[in-house]
Amino acid sequence: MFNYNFNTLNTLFYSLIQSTIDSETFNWLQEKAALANENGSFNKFKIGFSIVSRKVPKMGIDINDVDADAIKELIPGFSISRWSIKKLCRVWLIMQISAADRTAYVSKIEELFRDADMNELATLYAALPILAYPAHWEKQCAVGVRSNIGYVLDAVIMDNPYPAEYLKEDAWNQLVLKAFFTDKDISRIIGLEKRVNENLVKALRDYAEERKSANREVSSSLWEIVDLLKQNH
Amino acid sequence: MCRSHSMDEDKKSFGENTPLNLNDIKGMHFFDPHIHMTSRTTDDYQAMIDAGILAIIEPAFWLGQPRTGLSSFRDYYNSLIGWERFRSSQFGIKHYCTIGLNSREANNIELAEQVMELLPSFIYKEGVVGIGEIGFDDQTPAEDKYYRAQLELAKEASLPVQVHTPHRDKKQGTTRSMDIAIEHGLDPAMVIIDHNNEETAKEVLDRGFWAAFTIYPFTKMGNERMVEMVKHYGSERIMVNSAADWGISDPLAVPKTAALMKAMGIDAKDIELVTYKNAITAFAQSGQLDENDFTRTEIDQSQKYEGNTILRGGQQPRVDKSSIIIK
Repeated sequence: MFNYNFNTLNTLFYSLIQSTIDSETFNWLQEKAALANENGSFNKFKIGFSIVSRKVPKMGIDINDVDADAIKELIPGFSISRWSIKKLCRVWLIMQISAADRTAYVSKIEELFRDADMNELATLYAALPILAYPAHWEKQCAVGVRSNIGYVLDAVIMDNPYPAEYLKEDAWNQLVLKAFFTDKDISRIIGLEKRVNENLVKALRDYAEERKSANREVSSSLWEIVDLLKQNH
Repeated sequence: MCRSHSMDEDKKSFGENTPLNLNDIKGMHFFDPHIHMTSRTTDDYQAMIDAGILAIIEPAFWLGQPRTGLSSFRDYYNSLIGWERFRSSQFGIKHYCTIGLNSREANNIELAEQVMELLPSFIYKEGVVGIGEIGFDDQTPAEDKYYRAQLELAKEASLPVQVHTPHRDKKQGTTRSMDIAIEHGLDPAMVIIDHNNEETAKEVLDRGFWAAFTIYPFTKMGNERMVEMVKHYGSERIMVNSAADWGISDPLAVPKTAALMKAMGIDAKDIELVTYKNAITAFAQSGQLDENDFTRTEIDQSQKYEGNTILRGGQQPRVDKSSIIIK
């Protein structure tokens, strides 16, 4: 169901959260987690998922090098050091949804995506690497690439190992192109070297030409990607 | 319904036809607690931030024609907490909303029942500062039923209520809206009665509710009349808004009203309460609105960021609308 050691990551997140938020909030969080799999309570779980933004304080995560490395071991390219504690709590909540029944699990996660506000959406996309049945979320990830909302797009494109692993070539190419269109920090896209391909390079060259004709500038990182293809040959 | 409105009438009431001079309101900040940005363009956002509007509330309403299915409501609510909120932020304006089943569409009972079930999924989202805009339109039994149901929801969620008062039979409809709110045990201090006029203001204020006034050409309040209201009643629990929508309306109604109040000698403190602070106080009762979240930095239009015209802080690049050139 999971392509990484779920129990290890779950335990790690649990203790990180416990050491960061106060016991009252921690107990509240666990109460909400219990609703994840209870019959007829998923609406309440969703509300709890939303209300995390009010209950949990606004702060970052204090993660030591040992834990950060452990996370990278579990899921290559995955890092939570930029996450807020709110985001981590929400992701931990998602991890409490039982993945035993694939249909139920998929339906619940899709419901969360469907009704998500901006921050919830950014959280869900950042959480793609930890979801069960990873291949299933390829379409949802492609939908995320189409988002107009800056914070959401950032969560899909940057610091996220999922797209490089699972997006089909066409969708991957759209991701990279859109990153250029929206002036993203290309260095934060994971898997550029692994996924560089001829169609992408052609599209990037055409894009550079288009910019030149319009007297508009082109980011130098575009040529770095073109070079990657030459190197791979 | 239209009356002709000539420039001569303008001159009669206020001497010369007076344009808004941004210098008159320089340094003042505004809050518009009722504006339908989904129907407004980015030109409006640009003008709003230039005029000093820091934050707004967009109430959930209809789209100009009836929705035919639940998905339409869901997608609309999603846009209020998602795309429209984001679009607003790109212009430095903090966007909040109220969520609810509006009075017109409460008359589609089959759909209304479904919307009532959907509401709890949205009222706890970030950016939602109340249940609204709800109330009466024609004062039908269906409108009555869903107004009451949403009052209960507001009580349960501890959210302020933004009440739309009818345009036809307004005096009775407003009284009735207040009676029902009291009947259901709402604290008047948690209820904002909107679209007031000279006929409704006294009772709304006497009974302890917030009184919002919509400054909207032809069909609602004018701002000279608003000046008289504040001279008569003071500024306690009074707020103004534009309710700007797809009709002939003005997204700068709030700053214009402030400018007029200043010119007509209203005290600066009262102007600030009526065009900024009172609305914040009323809706901050939701626990979801914090003045500290508003952007206050002065924007230097000549600044560039990393060599392109995207200004610092994610502000939108400035377009010279008067130029024939587009590039």
